Amino acid sequence: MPWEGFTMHWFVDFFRDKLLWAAILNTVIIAIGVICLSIPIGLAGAFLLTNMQSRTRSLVYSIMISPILTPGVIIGISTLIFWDNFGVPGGIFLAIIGQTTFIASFCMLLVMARLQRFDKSLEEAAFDLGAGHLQVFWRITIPFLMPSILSATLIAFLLSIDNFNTTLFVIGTETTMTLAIASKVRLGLTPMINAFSVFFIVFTIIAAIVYGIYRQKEAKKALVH
Amino acid sequence: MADIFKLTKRYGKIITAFILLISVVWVMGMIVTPQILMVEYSFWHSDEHVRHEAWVEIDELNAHLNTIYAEIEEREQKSVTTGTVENENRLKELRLELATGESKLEELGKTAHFPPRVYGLKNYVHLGGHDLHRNVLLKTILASVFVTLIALMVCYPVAYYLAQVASKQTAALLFLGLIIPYIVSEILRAYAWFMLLAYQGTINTLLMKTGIIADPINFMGGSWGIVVGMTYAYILFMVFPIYNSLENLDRNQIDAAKDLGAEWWRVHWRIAIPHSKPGIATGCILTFMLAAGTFAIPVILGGPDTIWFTQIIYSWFFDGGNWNQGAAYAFVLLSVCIGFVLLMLKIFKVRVEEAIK
Repeated sequence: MPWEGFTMHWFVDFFRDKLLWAAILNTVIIAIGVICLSIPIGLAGAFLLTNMQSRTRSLVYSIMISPILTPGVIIGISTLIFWDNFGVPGGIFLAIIGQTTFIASFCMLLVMARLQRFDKSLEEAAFDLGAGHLQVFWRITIPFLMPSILSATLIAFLLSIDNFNTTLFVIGTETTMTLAIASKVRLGLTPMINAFSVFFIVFTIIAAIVYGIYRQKEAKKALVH
Repeated sequence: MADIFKLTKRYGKIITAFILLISVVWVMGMIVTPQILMVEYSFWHSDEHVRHEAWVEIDELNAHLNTIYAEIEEREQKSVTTGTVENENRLKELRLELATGESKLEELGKTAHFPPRVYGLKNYVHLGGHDLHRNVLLKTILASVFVTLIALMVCYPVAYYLAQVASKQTAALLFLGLIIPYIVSEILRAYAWFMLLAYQGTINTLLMKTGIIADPINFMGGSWGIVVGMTYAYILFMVFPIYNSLENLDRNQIDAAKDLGAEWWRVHWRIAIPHSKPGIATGCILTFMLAAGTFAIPVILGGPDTIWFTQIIYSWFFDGGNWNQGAAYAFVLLSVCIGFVLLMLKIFKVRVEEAIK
């Protein structure tokens, strides 16, 4: 189409699109659900693997990272079939479960990378001073892992809102932001998608910059100590 | 067992219980069992013959029940006006028949909706015998290998430059440029290429304005739009692993090789490439898996007759309503990906633990 000048018309259109706002709400709910499940799972997996030495470790490790190496559509399909046996149809709940299956693997890798650098003498010192297991866990281990937990949260959020392949199979009659954009793109070129993209890109870049600044601060802190 | 003992000693019983519980739920409930169930689904199909018979019987029974129902109504009216003993008895009989008929209808309905399972290879035989589907599968695999090779050729020099040549500042800036498009979703990345490559898109408009071409070129007619879009979309998954493995390559090794008179290609062939093997393996595995399993990019960037294998799987589930057939197709795709992973690990002699960190 010929260029006739600048307009805010498409942005107005985008803000008025109720369906798109419903999709955004779904996306946020799913992302929060995924974070709430993926972080504990990632932590548990990382603790288990870091403390395993036997030959089974290799097997458990392979299974735990296999969702990263599996195409997203396969994860969606297997989740859909599994829950169909319990009479659970596709929807927001299944989207959370399906996405968590592989996002938890990423969280586990991030946490494990930091857990491997953990100085065990910190724990031992705390035990010697009479701390209990729970106390050591909450006061020493978790604070040490905090930067990686925050990284994992952000990564989980970004992976969740971007996800298309897995969500497509498990979302049922609902929709998410990424699916809504895809279907609009499929239907044809309307500048409203571009308006939305601008909004989306600005949002993600701001999130990335905030994360970058946080990382730098952490790095400086680490240097000081 | 020794591992669990170690866990309890380090974290105490409560936390160990949580760690084990959550891990088991994830591994068994979300990864292993669903996959096994999907494979199980792919090896059976509903007995269509029994289903058909059930429907025929349902139709007949429905017609029969309707006549009974009509007669009951008739006789009920009669019993209000002129009630005879014979009429009442017949009414009782009819009501009994209606009740048994209805319970039989319910049973038939169950058979019609969930006919008995027949185990066998029917779903796989169907894929083997379907020319279009088999071709789409082959094309998907070939195009994915092609995308992986292009991405490798583009990304190795970039990763080498970032890891060994560029200064810290330049590398950081380049990384930012590489990462920013990746925070934005895959759909929008494909959409950006769509706007560039479209018939009335940016590239055609530019070429026509500058007078290089007279008529717009149809970039997206075949698979080329898809290949370009995918290579762009997955480059980071190739650059990062290779960069990671090249980063800890000691520069002295390269300098020593150069001092001893090795040409630039020999430095790469004998030192840099062997050192970055785990990274190359990881990059190839991720790129191939993403390319073979993509859904959105072929839809957005493909022509009307370029379909991807994932689209066929989708239509089995949501247009055809045959989940068993879809599960078989999905398992074929999964097997192809697993095969590729094993091939890469073997070629580059890498273990899984080294490849995915």
